[in-house]
Amino acid sequence: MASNVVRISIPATYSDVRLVDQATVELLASVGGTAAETHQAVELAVHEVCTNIVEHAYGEDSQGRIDVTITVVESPARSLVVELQDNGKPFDATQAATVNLDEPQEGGYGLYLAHMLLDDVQYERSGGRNIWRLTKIL
Amino acid sequence: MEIGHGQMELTISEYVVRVVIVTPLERIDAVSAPVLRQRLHNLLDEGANKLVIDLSTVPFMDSAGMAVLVSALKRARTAGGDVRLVWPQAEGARRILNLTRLDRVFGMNETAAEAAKGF
Repeated sequence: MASNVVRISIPATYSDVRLVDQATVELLASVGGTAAETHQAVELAVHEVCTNIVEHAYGEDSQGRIDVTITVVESPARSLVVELQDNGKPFDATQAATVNLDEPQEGGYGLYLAHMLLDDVQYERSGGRNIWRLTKIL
Repeated sequence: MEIGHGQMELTISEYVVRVVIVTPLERIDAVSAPVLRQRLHNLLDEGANKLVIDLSTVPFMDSAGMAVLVSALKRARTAGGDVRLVWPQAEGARRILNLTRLDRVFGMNETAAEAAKGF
C-alpha cells in the first residue's frame, strides 16, 4: 500500500531536472528513517535518468515534458519507487554507451550510475511513452 | 691575482611553474557543466596546462560534470600538463568519483595547496 506519493510534471530541461532531484530528496526526508547516504544515492540516480531523458529522448525538442511519480511504498519492502514517463524517442539499449571503467570517458556513465546506486532500474515502452521505474529499498 | 670581494660573474634566471586553481562554488551538473567546460578550456587555450580543480565546496556532481573534468584532463595531458582534483567534502560528490573510478585517474588531494605542490 502506498503511503506517500508525489506527482510532478516538468518541462524536459536540464534546469527543471533539479526540481525532480529536490522533490525526491524532500519526500525521503519527510517520511524519515533513511540515511543521508541513501538520499544522495537516490538523488544522483534519479538525476542521471532524468538528464538522459532530456538529452536522448527529447534531444533538441524543447517542448517535451517528464511526468514524475515518486512513491514510498511499505511492502513488500519499504522502498522508494520513482516512475519517469516521457513522450520522447524510445530508448535503444543497443545504442546506450557502454562504460569502460579502465579508461576515463567523456560521458556514458549515467545509466551505469543508476544501476549502481539503485536496487532496480526498469524500462518499458508502452502506448508511445517511455516509462522508467527506479527502485531503492530503504 | 686578487679577486675583489663581492665580485663574481653569474646569471640568474627564474623557472616558474604556473598552476591555476579553479574552485567551482556550486553544483556541477548538466546546467552548469557547459560553463565550467568553457572556463577550463579558455585557460587551456591561454596555455595553462597545470590545473587544480578544487571540488571541496561542490555540493553535487553528475556525469556531465565528470565529462568536463575528463575533457580538461585529456587536453592538459596532451599539452604536457595535468589536472589534479581536490576531494569534495560532500559525500555524494565523492561517491561519483569512486563509482566512475575517476579518483584513480586524477591525482587527488585533500587541499588545493597539496594539489599545487603535486606538479
